[in-house]
Amino acid sequence: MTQQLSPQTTVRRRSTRPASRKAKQRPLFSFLKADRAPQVRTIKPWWRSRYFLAAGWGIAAIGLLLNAGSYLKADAASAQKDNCQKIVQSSAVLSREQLGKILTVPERSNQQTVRDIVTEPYCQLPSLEIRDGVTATREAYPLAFEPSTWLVMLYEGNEYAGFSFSFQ
Amino acid sequence: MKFSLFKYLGLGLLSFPLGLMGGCAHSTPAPRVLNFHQSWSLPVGTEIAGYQVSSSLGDISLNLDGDTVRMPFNGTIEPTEMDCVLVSSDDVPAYLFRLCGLSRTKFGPRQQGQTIGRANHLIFAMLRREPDGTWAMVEPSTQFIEQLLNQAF
Repeated sequence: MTQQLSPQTTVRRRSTRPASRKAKQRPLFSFLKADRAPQVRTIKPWWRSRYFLAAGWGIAAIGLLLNAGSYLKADAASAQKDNCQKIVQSSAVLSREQLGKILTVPERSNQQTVRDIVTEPYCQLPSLEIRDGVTATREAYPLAFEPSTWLVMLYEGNEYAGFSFSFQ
Repeated sequence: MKFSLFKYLGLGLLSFPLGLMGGCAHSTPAPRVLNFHQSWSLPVGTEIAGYQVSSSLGDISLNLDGDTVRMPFNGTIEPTEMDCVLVSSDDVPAYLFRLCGLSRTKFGPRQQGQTIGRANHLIFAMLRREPDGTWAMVEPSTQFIEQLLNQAF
């Protein structure tokens, strides 16, 4: 019985030993990588490296951040109220009807024409000298139905020169 | 595995234009065309003997020697014909400012004091809105030009 068993055990040992050696020769964490020929990894050019890819995305991210920054700066414009130099009538707002009437006043009309429609503006903006020798005064009105939008009227002397809408 | 070559190259290179697109998407609006109140036979852009008129009647030219030109108010920079830009502001109705000869200009909203561009010779025109919707050239004040060049106001 013993003589019969011993050859069997030696056969087993021989068959298992080479298998265990193979497992020891494998590199550490080899299971993480798919089976690759070693040539593919060694001749990988620089533009295929993940660092190049990461650098590309990094530059893209910086570019987008800078762009977003310029948008944010533009959005952070101060409110029209802060531009006021002197508040004339803090309760003044323009109704739709008044706005419609004001917009029909032609440029070069007398300031009184506008005053007849709305007696007082919310505030006066700082006066400017844009054109040589002429001082321009500006008055601002918030819209009753859209308080974030202001109508800015520009006068030169007593002459109405033009309007614009200021959006906050 | 052959596809990874294109994948890495593609993704790496794609990310550059992606960043650029963010910047360019809002910076190339269509040129704004103005109707002028005064009609001169030699306005800016007229071709004479193969050369273009770069400054016309009503323009003021300043030798800035490459210095910066800044926003006089919070406003918007728009392109126009020729290599000129139009600066307008919601806070200053009835006026438009045309600046020619600038380099490195970007379009869009800007805040007071931000750079419009640099110029060797700045050609400046101040336009005032007429009741018929045309734009008349008027003489700017010294104060205003000083503010454009960011001198003490």
